[in-house]
Amino acid sequence: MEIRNSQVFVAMCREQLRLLLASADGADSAAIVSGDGFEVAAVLHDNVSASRVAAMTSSLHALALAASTEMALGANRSVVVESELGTLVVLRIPSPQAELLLTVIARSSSVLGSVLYAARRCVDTVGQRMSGYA
Amino acid sequence: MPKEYVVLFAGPMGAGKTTAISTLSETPVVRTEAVNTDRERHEKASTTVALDYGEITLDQGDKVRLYGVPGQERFDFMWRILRERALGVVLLIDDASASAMADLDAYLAAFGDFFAQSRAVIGITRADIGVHRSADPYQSHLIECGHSLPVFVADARDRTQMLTLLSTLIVLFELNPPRKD
Repeated sequence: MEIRNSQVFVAMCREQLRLLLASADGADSAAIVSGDGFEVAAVLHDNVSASRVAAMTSSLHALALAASTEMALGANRSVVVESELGTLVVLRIPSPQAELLLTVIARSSSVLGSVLYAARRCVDTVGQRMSGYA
Repeated sequence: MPKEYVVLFAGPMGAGKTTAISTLSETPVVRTEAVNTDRERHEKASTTVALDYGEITLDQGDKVRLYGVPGQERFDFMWRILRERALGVVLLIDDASASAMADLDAYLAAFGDFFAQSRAVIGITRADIGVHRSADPYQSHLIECGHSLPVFVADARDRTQMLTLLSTLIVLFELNPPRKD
């Protein structure tokens, strides 16, 4: 079974997303998605569509990976999109079992460093716990 | 004087878009593949999630930039981004899929401008194990929809066949230059 279909795993992911959003000022949406762009778990602002976030996260990560590999920088750890009204960060969840990504959307009041710190803590936790769901 | 063209490779998941670009490109192909977790839809191990990119120089010196788009509709934002840059499309339809004719209709709708301006060619792939095993039903369907466009049975792994598709599209560009409206 794909890990994204495990209810227990999805519940754990959703809990980690809530913790992340509570700990990073200004972060208002976060999602864990499969590498090929399907939602695993999401805690999103009202006007954000989970399926759009999932597909776009997958494309952003894959393009960044293609670029960083092409420039001989190795695999990318994150993608940061700094926009007029906020910031979007995408991080790969380190795991040999499944290709998963975290995306966090933060509004302009947020500090990039604190969003990245909370996001890194979230991917490390989810990555460590994934072995229990294989 | 040599010209530069941008051509899209579109079509449903598993039709052979990434393979076609790998077959044609003379530069290492930029790929954006992820592990495919949608095995009910297609059995293949990995799937394109942003784009494929390759380049080829044709005999006359014309350079063609080849962009492959993801097959799944959920990546339609990538279709829109890449459609803006392209002069035309090579549409690959998987004849071994039960939904092949519906797929053709879906792509006629999504890439309508290219079809309306006759800047599209259609390659019917996997016809050796396919449903129709011929280009004819697809050709007839296109004519019913008002499009008189080249349709070939083609193997995405065969460079000569892929070059035929691409060269035919380039001829269509010459016959149908982009409108300025």
